[in-house]
Amino acid sequence: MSRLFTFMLSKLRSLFRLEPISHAWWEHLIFRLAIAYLLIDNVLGMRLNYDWVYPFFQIAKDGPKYFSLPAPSGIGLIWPGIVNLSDPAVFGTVRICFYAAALLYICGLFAPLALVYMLLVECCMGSLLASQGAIGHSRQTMALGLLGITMASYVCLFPGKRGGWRNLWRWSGGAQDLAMNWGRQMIVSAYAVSAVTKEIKSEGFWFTKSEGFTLAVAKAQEEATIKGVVEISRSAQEFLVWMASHPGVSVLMLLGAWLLEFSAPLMLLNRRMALFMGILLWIFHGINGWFMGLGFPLNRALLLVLFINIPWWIYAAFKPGSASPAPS
Amino acid sequence: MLRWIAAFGLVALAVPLMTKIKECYPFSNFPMYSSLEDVWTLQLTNEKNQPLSTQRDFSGDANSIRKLTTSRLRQVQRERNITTINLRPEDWHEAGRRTFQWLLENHEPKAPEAVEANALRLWRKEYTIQNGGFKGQYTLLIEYPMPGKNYTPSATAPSPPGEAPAGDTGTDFEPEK
Repeated sequence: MSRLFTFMLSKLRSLFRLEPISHAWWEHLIFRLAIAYLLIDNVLGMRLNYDWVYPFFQIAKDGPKYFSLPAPSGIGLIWPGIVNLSDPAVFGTVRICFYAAALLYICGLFAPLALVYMLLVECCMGSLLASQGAIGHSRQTMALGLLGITMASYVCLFPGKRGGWRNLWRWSGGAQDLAMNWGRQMIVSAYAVSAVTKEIKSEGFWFTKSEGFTLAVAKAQEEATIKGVVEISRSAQEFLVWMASHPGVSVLMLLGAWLLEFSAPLMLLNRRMALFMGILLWIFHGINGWFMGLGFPLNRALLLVLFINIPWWIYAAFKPGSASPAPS
Repeated sequence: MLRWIAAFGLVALAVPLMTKIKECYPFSNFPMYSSLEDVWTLQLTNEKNQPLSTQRDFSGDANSIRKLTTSRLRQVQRERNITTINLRPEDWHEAGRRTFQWLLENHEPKAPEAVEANALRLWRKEYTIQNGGFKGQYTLLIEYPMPGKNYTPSATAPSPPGEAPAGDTGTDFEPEK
């Protein structure tokens, strides 16, 4: 019994141990490929099947068609010229340059230059959409992750002689590892800040609002049905009716969701925690998609690539001479 | 200490920063579902109270009517220097008017004959739980005649969705779940 306890304790400790996550070259290649794909998909909307995704992808495919900024946000606050993206000729040129930047990034050539271009386009497109007065959050996490990666790639251009950035860089493993580290930090910040906002707005009692949550789900289901973009299943509707008469279930769901968001930064501790929490958050988004029509496919993709990182776990499991996956 | 800064330093900077900045793309405080006090939404219907979707019935890139209208309501609030508590029906009316104007200028109906709207109505729906089921209480915020359509608003107040409008045989809109 005591041996089992010691074993469990050691496993738990290893889950919470801070370890640098340095990646193999092929992992970086996979990351770059995935990020470039998600950006092209997100910014240019080149996905082939549009049936299930948010209407934004359709906008991106055809180019935006907004000619004014009724509620300026982001870059729209300082540069109204982002409406020029609605000009098919401008968007066409931006698109071609975006492909070139994505290709350079995948190849690891002039990455800082390619990244800053892709970040600028992503922010202009996102700002143009948000400036219409209906801010959506389905793609902001991607933009934040890209911001982190871009910042790190510039920091690594000027590491200094000793100390400072160079130490951060060295601890992370290398320039590319630092970029992924900062990208991940920005992504988990999105989850953490969401948890903080919930507590600020509800004055610390967010997870006690069981009736409000049940009503909010009813509202979300109805909005999704009227929009006709996402289909709410019969089982989700029935579960909602059942939940209305079981407020304890709502409290548990709220508590679970809040804890997951708040503890998302734990994914930065090591690969094991990134896998564990990444899977939980991935399931969390899946449940939200089923229950409220808010699946956040982009967030799920980012979790899958940057945190769960299945290829590495397969590699670690089958690595010659390794009985169990190495810690990092 | 350095390794903790390396691992979590950016999070420690980004979280307070985004909490302070709130909404400014790409930064956000991600406030989705943070207010669960009074739950309401806005619904768009035609003059027969048949629900319309900004995404399905207008060109496919329009967004949630609720978000579009509330952002314009905030503009009205700022212009008229009033707080949320002191909002008047005419403020909602103005926000709704601006939303419809934007919607019609930027997003033509996909198929005008399918939309079959002589006028657009914007309803505020408040949700409550009663007897284990969901109830919706509707308030009409604005009725906006579609440009080019010959529509005369009814002299009497329109019936809420789900109730048979005066002079109509009924509606296919089932507002309660």
